[in-house]
Amino acid sequence: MPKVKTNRIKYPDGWELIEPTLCELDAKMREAESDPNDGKRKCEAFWPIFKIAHQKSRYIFDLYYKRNEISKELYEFCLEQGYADRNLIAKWKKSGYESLCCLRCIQPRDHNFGTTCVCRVPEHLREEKAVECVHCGCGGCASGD
Amino acid sequence: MLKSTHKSVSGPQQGNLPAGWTEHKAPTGHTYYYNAETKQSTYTRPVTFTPPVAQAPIVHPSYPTDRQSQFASTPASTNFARPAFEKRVPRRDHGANDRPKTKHAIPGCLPWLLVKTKLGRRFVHNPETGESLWKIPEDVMKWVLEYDIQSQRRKHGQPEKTETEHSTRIEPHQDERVEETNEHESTTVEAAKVEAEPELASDEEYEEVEVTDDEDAEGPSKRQKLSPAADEPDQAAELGEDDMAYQLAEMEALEADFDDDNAMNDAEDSGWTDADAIASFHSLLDDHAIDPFTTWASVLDAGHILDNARYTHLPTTRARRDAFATWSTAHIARARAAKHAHAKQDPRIPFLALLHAHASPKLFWPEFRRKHKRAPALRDPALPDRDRERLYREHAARLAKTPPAALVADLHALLRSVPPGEEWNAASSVHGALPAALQSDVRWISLPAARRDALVQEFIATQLPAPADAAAGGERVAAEARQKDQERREEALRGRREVVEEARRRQERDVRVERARMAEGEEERRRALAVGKGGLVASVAMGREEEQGEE
Ligand SMILES: [Zn+2]
Ligand SMILES: [Zn+2]
Repeated sequence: MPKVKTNRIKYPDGWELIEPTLCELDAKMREAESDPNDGKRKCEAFWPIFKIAHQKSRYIFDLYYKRNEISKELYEFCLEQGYADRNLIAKWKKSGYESLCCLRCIQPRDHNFGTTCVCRVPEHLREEKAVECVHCGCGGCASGD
Repeated sequence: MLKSTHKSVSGPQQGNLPAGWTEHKAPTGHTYYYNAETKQSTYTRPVTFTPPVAQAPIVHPSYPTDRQSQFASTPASTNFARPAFEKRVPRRDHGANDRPKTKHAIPGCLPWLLVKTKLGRRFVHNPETGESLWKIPEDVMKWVLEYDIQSQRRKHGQPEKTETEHSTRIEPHQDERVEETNEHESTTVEAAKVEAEPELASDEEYEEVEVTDDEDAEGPSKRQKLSPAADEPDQAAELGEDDMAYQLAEMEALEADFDDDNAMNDAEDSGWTDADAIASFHSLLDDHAIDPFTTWASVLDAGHILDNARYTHLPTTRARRDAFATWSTAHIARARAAKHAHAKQDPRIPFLALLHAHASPKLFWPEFRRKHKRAPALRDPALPDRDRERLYREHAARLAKTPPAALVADLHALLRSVPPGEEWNAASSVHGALPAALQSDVRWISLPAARRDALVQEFIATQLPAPADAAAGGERVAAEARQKDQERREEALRGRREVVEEARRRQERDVRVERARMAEGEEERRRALAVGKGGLVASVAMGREEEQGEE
């Protein structure tokens, strides 16, 4: 009978270096997902998940675009395996969105008056200095801040 | 008698406040006064004809902001604006009103330190033995007196502080300052209530002197003139060992605070540069074996490096994050270079090492393969299975059939076959990195490891030309440079500490002067002037009369 190879992921070079961090973030994500959210506001329940998803994407993004430490192959691999959000990274490459917190915050249909989230407003234009946006708990992610 | 009591000082005085001043109730129940124009607040009721003294601008402490990624360090959820009065509420901790103020090494008998508390009491502390004594031992006393004389002389030689320096005061001291005012006020009131006994009067005067004193050299000497040093023993009785320990702990806390505040503020001239700060931070990362591929957030979460002093050499979290980024980039580049050197490694080398460790002529190849199928050397796709089998058979045959003498001869032939050069040089400086041509030959593994290594060492020592030492020399030079750099950094750090210490002392002095200014109202000033003419008791009595007159 011919040998059938199933479920074999070929890990690109350098994977073993970033694996510990990604595993750690994955573990944090699982923890956040199973967190009971006692005593939190309704909107707060998803904040940790958004936060960790942001961290993971940011990690891959930084490694590839900022620090040039992983190969394109490994970068693509991470995107395919779902370690980073391709769409969020695509936004980060555009000027004005360099430190965008999440995609919902720039989605006009999620907001009253068809605008974006309060965390997208630069700090010097905001009336209240400390904000926490309702979507992801972001405290301000305008590029100039 | 010096216990601070927040009695209703301002209760009966319900007159008009000077323009700009408003009356407020602190959450602790105390009444305080706030001037919206000058942003001043005080527990002392401002008097109409008193111009506001020393309007030092309030410097807001700058918070390290970490903005590029707003999730990078701590969640922003703790950023609630704090009500402004929170800072103004005096601290009441430990129940002790006194706290340490200065600590000086006593020249002449060195381990001993002379610690001075806020209320002007002094005790000596020996950091080596951990002793603390309110009653200064004779032999130490001699030097303390010497020190007093010296510092007094020094003080008279120095010009007074200029006005501009006072504005360097920083916000966190405000509460202390208010507290000082408060205490001062209450002691004044008590002094007014009780009939002025000589002892109390001297104490009051003493308080006065302490507050207005700048270099704190005058206090003790004046005091000895005024009172026959009678209150020293009963204070010693009043304050026990615990108290002293508390004073010392406070002292240290104070110093730690200052280190945090002042770090890097004016350290440029000590030879300690930003580059040094970054380098020391990098060495901290090195020492903790941080994974260069990890994120800054998880480094912070792990928190191993937070306790280290080197962590605070960089002033802001952002600077630390940047330093971490450069460090990890450099590390990864180095690791990659090393890996490149390794990448050319012959796939036969690990396989032969495996054979060397486990192969035996009794085992056939399929059996061996099955037994070690989990070994990475057997799974490496770079070496075809066919080659593995061939190497195995060859090796097993040699083990079974070739006499040991022939094996030794083979090894010598192999060693001689590798031309002397680069690789051998590397081998003699770094252990174990023998030429790949050796390790990928089946003859290499025929002898037991111990015997083979002895032979190889012998060969290197006798047959090879003396290594040019280029590689080793390079290593040594690099190591020396590192060493020198480290030493220089330590030197600079010492210099920086001195500068910081100096800045701290200066700041302490400023704070003291500032406190004195706050505490000193026009009234007190007049009374202080009167001391010269009418003597102390008369001045206290006069102050009391004035207060009654106002009421
Ligand atoms: Zn945002
Ligand atoms: Zn968001």
